[in-house]
Amino acid sequence: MADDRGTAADQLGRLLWLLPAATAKPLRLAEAAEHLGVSEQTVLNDLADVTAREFYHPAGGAEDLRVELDADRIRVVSHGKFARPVRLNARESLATHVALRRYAASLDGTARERVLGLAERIGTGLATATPEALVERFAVEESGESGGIRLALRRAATERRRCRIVYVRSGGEETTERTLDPYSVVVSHGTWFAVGYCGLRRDVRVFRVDRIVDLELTGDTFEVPADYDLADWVQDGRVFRADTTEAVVVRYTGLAAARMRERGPTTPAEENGDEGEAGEGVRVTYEVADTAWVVRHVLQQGGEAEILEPKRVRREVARAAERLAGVDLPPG
Amino acid sequence: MADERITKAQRWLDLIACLLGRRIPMTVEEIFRAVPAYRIAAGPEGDPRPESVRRMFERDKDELRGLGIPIETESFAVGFGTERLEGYVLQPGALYLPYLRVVEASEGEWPASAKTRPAGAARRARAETGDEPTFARADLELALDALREAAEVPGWPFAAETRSAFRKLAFDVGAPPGEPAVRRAGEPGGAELADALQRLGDALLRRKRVAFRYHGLSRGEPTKRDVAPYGLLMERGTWYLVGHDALRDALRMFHVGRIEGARVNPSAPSTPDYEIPDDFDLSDYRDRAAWELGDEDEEISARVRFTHPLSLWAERNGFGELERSDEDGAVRRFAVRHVRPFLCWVLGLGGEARILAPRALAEELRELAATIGGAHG
Repeated sequence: MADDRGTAADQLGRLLWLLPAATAKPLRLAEAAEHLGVSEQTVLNDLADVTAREFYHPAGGAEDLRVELDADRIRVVSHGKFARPVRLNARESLATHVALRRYAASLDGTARERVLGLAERIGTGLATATPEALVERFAVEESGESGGIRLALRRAATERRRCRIVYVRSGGEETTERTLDPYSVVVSHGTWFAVGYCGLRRDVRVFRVDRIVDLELTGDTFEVPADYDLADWVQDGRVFRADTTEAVVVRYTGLAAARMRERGPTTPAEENGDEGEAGEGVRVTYEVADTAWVVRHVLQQGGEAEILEPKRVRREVARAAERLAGVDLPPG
Repeated sequence: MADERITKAQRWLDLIACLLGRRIPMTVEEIFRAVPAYRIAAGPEGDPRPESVRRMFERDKDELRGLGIPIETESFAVGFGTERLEGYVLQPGALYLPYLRVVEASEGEWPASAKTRPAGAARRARAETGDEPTFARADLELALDALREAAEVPGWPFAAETRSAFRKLAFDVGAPPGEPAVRRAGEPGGAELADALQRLGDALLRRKRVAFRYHGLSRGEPTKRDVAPYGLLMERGTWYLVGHDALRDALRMFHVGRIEGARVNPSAPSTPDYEIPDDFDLSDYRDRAAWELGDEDEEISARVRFTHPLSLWAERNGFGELERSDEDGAVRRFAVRHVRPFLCWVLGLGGEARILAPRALAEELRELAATIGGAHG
């Protein structure tokens, strides 16, 4: 088993939570380990350090704290000391501020003010210090969206609430309205998806959250089917599922190749340095369910990606590019 | 030497316990007598106190303060005011998390249903923690939810602190039921990225300069950089460092995944190397599209027509500024500093977005499309 004891600071941090938690009520060892994110052995080692204090303290010196281990239950008897967790320290307060700002970023108006105010109240009431000047030096996935669609969707997924959404399909001529039972909200490489039951298609589908342009929660709830497994919908870090897919081989050059290399092990297929006439490059094979996606993806590389196979998809790119090249120019 | 059987965590626990047991400040001598590790290291009573023990205590006190244990230094009078001594005190009210008064109702109402606490040790501790801050249950659950989700952000350098903050806030109300609402798939990660972010986060907190090799995408060879970190930003699955780059003498944004061998300036660890200017605002760097990164004096204004319903998507995601809209779509204005990424983005929208102005930009788009068409023809 890996040693996850960490530094003395880590150990003290764990004990200052563990002692009061097991004072309040007996705590199962497995539960303590899970809360603390360490192995059960590490929890036992931490507790052994507390009980060993009685061997080096003069008589009565360590009696303020008694640890009892009964089978897999931890119970602490305290005479007042360590019966409460300690306040949030500066880093924990910073982390709380950043977490709440991240949450508030996709809210508007009073909802946003309320969440930011909550961060302030936690900082002033429950922390020893907050490094105020540093709170704004960290921004984590703060969404630029307005209207809180992403948050509403999260809420719907947590509370199992059916929603009604307006969706913009890629290349679609009209928006579509449908009900969605969001089973999971997934983020992959910075793109957010909802996987759930679509009332229009009467089947489970994947939706890109940025393409949901309106969402309201209905009064209905749903159950997630027992045979639903998110793992079926995530393949090599991409969120999709299709009964039939087609292998599409794309060669990237220039900066696009460098970006693909950077994605490293998360690249959806094997990479080979291509040493043909085109010079150095990266070749990626995608299992594609919807060729419209790969056509747009190649266009977006601005000439630094080329479909090698199959020929049919190659022709689709050629046609789409020719259409764009033939667009009337605006008046000069 | 300290008795090796006593670990550092035990020594710290003993020091905290001994200070908590006293209402009046303890002098260093009293502390040395009360904390076994110091007593053993100091040798028999009457021996000259080794300087090493004093240094050990000073280090412990500083480290514990750094960890949020509020040990205060106080001077007090003895001998009927003839002598002043320095001592240390740890107030339970400053140390312990106050009891949270949890109300079920929404904010502004404080019904009689506020949660009451158990008896015994907890009640004694309660008497020492002073005021009870009031929180609505829904607010606490929201904070816990936000913390649980933030702890899962790949590479977040304060993930451990996010989790310990979660544990403390959940102490009285319990963890919210269910699984985290958001799951993650195919995120960047890896030990190297996490390690670089740990160093950068630490450097930013202490305002220390960082030296590293940077593998810019468009450069063949890595360049050596010396940067004063101003902010860390995670967007669309990528971590960025914003800071003042000594090589360029300018503010720069770095892709953390392209940083190698980050080394925080080890000299004078507790003295900041630089100040962050008051007018620096990390949000200026947020939500920046690739075409917005570049020199201000090269900025051009582009007008793009989005057909319906893509126009709704552009509005919802805040791409450009809305100029006008009608039932067929909308015209949006973009500040473009870097032309190529902008053209690529418009191309990727596959004809549902058309450049209206400037004409030269529309021409460039056509040429790029023709090149792609030619390569696939």
